[in-house]
Amino acid sequence: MISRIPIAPLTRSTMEASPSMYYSNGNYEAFARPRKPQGVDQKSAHLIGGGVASLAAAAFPISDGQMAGSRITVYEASSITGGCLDGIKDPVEGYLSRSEREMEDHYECMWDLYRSIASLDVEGASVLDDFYRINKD
Amino acid sequence: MVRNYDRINAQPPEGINEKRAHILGGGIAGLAAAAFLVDDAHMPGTNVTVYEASGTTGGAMDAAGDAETGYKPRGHRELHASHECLWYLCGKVPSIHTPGATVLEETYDVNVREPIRSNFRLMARQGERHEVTGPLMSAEDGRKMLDLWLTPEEDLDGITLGDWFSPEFFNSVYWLCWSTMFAFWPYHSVMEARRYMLRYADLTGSNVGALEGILHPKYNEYHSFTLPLHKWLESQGVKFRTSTSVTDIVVSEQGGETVATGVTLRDADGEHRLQLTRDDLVFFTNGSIVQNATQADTTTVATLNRDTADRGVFTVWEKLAARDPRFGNPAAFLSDVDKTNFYTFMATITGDRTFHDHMEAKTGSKGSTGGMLSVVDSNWKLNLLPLGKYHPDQPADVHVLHGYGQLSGVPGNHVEKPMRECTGAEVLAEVLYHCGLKGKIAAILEHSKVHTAALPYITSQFMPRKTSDRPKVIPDGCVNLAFLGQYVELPDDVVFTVETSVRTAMMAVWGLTGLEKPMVPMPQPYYDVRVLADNVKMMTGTDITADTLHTLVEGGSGREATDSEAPTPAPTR
Repeated sequence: MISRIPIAPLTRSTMEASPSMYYSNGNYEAFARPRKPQGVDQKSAHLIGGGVASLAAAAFPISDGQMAGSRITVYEASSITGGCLDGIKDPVEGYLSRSEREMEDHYECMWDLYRSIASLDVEGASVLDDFYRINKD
Repeated sequence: MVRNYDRINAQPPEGINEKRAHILGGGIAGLAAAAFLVDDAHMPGTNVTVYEASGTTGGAMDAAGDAETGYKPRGHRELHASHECLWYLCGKVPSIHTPGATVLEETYDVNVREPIRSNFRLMARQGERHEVTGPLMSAEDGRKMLDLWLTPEEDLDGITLGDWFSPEFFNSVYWLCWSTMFAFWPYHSVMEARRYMLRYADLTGSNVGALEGILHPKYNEYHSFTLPLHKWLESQGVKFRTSTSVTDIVVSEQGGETVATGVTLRDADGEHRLQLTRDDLVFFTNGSIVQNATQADTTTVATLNRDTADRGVFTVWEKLAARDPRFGNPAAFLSDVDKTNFYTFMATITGDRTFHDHMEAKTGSKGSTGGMLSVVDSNWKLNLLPLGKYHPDQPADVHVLHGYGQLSGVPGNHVEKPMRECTGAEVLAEVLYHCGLKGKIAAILEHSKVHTAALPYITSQFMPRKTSDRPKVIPDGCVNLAFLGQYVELPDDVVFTVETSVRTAMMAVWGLTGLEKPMVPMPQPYYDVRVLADNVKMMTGTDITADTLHTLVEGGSGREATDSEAPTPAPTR
């Protein structure tokens, strides 16, 4: 019965990801910080696993949810966070990395995260700024 | 498409500390240029000066007057969520009304709580609803509309809306809703209209009467946008010289490049010449929709200013253009005040809720949330905008109504005079008549202060034109001169929006400083198949369903595909 389905109208309801969440559609929504969620000062966050998913889930409550960082704990089985986003320089074995990932310029959530994380290499730049310049050159 | 990947902070362009910016014109375009120079291009704020002919910045985004004597803005602008450059700017500027919030956040918040949605878009017969359902236009005009969408812009030089559509199009529901949103008239440019239809295709499709997606400021445009931006720029060290007008700009050719070498300014002490080098960046707003505006009050009449010898920045633009065709052709826009003027009004009503209660009951909308209401059988072509809290200091018993009449030269339906010969009181009497309050005119007038404004050039940017009639933001060869505002050629963009001004400022700053940062892309809703389907519905009255697509794909080729006609395999890499 697919032929009976109209092409989706552009209404908010079709854009909803959950009752309280909706997609942004440009600078108007992306650049406005949300109001502080009710009760966020009484909430705590427990992040099980310390890969990039968890680290991102720890960053967004601070940058967007206005939760105090001290209320957030990340638990990680290994001794180092980052999961498979790894990179070690071992004095004996040389550089160690278990694998490699491809990035692209439409990783909207990833770049939203990294535009607010300071680069460790370039003073005054975000990780996004640094990444962008390297890939432009 | 706006991407998070492009939200970078650019490095300071080479030599930016040694450069100075001279911003000629303190409207929103000039203020935005100052903000982008300081915040994005890393120019020290003290190197930036804004020159403004009038006593205040903000240009058309104004809000003079007070509750006692009546508010007197000259106009009103519609804002939309797709105004990417404007919201980028507003995201930088601290609000002066909402502690801890930016101007964007303040605007966002008020529109979440008080969204605009019109339930009563068109009015006729003294206060009755004029239905917006049914076919929006005839089948013939639907075909002409589709033709227009598919005709390249270069084939539309000098053509008007009246040339393109049938006479009955101008009585269609679509025209009544669409033309009044943007202030188009049949003698305006079909090229400009086409840009609007494409740029705002997600707003003006089959649901054109709903006004969904139009946004409003917390208060008026001056207190919500201009003043916070002005104060923030001051805190960054930017200098303002008001009551200082530009009278000429001198450019010279130097080794194949065009350099602005001098600017003549006039203030209370007389004329001064600024000598410029390549390190002096000039940002010139070459036109103003409120140029030569005149204002009047409840008992006086605003005279339409027809002077052509002194029309401020337009005169400076005329001098520049006379010397070099790259600077455009102002005559295309400025030659017919009878066609480019309209009149606005603002009624401030104190201690009498009759009008606002009457309209709320009629429209079901409170405050500003009903958006614009157009009176289709008004000789003056009146458009009304009941507003909520307009001014931060507005007392609770003061209510305001803003509006404009598209035709100032024909007698009214109740007041037997053209709008341009009327006092503020007479204008309000005509408005009240159309709203079905004929019997209450005298009583409401007793509580009202009305200000009117005559705007000779308010729709001049819509006059039939060629692409070359407007200068580019940075004309070819110019190294330190950029044009800002509504009389500048921006590929694909419309004119007569705040966004246009801010976008020209962004392009000018990125371009003249050599900033290594991508421009915010133009919204292109017409590449979204859902928007296209909705606009086909607007033109034809027919829902586009998956059935339609099946018909196109299967029926369009006139036969069924068979196995023997399997597509050729793609070459291997």
